[in-house]
Amino acid sequence: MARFFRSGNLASRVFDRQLLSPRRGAAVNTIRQFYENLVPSYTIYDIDCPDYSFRKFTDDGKYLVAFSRNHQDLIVYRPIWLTYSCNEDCDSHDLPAKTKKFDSFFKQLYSIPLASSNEYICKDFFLYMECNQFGLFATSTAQRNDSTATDGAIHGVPSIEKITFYLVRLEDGVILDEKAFCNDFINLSHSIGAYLYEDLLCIVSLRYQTVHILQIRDSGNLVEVRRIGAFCREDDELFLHSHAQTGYGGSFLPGIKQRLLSYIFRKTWNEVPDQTLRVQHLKKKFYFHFQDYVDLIIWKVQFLDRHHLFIKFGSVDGGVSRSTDQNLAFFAVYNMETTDIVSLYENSSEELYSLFEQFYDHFHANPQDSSHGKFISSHSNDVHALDQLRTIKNKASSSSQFVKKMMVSLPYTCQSQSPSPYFDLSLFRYDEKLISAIDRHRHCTEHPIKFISVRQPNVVKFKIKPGSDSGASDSRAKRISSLFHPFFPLALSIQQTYMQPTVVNIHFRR
Amino acid sequence: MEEMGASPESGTACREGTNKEDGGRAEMGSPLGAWPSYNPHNFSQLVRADPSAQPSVVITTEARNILLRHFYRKSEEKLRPKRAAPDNLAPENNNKQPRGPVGDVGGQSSTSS
Repeated sequence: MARFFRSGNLASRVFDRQLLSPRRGAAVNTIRQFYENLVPSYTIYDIDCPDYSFRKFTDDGKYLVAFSRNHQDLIVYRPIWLTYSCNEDCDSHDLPAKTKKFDSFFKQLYSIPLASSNEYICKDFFLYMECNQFGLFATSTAQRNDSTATDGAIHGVPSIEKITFYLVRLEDGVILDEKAFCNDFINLSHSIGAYLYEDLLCIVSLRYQTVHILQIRDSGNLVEVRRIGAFCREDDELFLHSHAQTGYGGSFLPGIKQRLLSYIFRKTWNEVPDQTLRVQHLKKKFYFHFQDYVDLIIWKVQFLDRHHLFIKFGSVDGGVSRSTDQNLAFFAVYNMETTDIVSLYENSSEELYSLFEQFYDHFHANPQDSSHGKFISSHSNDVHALDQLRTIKNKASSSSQFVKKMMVSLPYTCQSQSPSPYFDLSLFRYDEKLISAIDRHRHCTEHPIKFISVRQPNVVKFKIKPGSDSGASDSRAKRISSLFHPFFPLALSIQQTYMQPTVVNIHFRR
Repeated sequence: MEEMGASPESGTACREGTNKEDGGRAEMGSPLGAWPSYNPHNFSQLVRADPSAQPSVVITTEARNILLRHFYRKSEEKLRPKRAAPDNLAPENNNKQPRGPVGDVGGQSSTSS
């Protein structure tokens, strides 16, 4: 609270920094206060740039990733800063003509073809491994909805002929390794179907209900280290084949499903200590719903640490779409080493909600996060956000519906939030329906998006105005997305209108 | 008599009976060693922390993060087999014995026993 009484003046803050050391563990929070003074308040509208689809700044701020319009090429830029010189006092002059050029802010490093003839780069998919500066991209062929069920594939999930993941060294554009999945379905939109934790990558094959765990070696090789689904341990398959009785007609349930069922059985068994009532309880709670449990499929997976996965199970119809419907779903914590299910929760569980409220940051903690990545605002680390969440909870008409709605954000989607300090809720307030740390296209608004100081609630620190109006066009047809550099006062806002060229605006500190 | 320590204060304190204090302190085995004080019995209650004697107070780094620890703890509580309640108590009674000859819910158990 002391900072509310200290001067917000930049020079004053610099002097304070000489005299006062930040509280222990709060060095980054203290330094981030300087972002209240250094804001991207100047906008260049409709900058002269190539017609590419700009995807994201990498979390270390070194690269800007873009894809060609035909979704076949990858183009990588390095953010530089506009530099110019004047003979006289610069402030009184307009910026030079070269300011309107994209090249003044970004230097193109290379353009490489990633997808071949009938494949397209999934422009929603991108994961970055900061320590080695490796980028993971995905290409796919067209989706087929009339998939025939093949051996091991489940019904109701479409099939894609080929999905290829490419590991690219962003420094020079060299493709280090690739991994292909054929006649499979992996949810590539917004990188939902994959999760990167340190050097471990998990890819969820929805069609074959398998979680592939790969390791990204320093050499750039993608090595599969584990496959969880039909079998849990590496030697399960060998064991079953060597012990299978000939003539046995039935087939086993997948290993992960068996683990799930046995957990539910043990938990239900322990709920009633009385022997005579136990069987009745089991019938009601377990056997009655047995087929529903068997029909559950893996929807989404994330790492909680190197040994534990957080898996969402649900029904087949909910798994493929990105809808936020609130059907029944389960969350399981799975230990890959012991192959045990540690715990299981329904998506309406108050107990899980209380963990979500208190420890949301731990769902996406990654030891390899850059310093700004460790300080992404959430309701678990910001009192204002928590207050807002609790207000919504208290106003909700149905507690279980509210909990289900909150649980839609779990498992966490890897690298889905911008670490930019301008989204820090302890520094700025902004309308989260219009803009937020989560990268999503939103409908365009006529009004500028204001970033208001938390310290001084009446002061608008800067605005992002979506763009010059293009006259008669319907604003509903416009979609806007914004890309913030992780630590510079630099942002791009990209305005897409149906049947019209994309407009890119650049916002920076002049 | 020797001056002890750098500060004049401690020197002053020690001037009277230095030898006695030295001997007293060493015998006490105080973790403060032979530091001077007015009375050798001061700080004698202090015991050097011995991790092997009290393992519960040793601070260690837990490999698992707090979220996982909560998942494990809650799960252990659920999977621990519940102790069957004694015959003359029904769980709904909040562990209270029914007073009269037949309690409301207790009646069920009492007829079976």
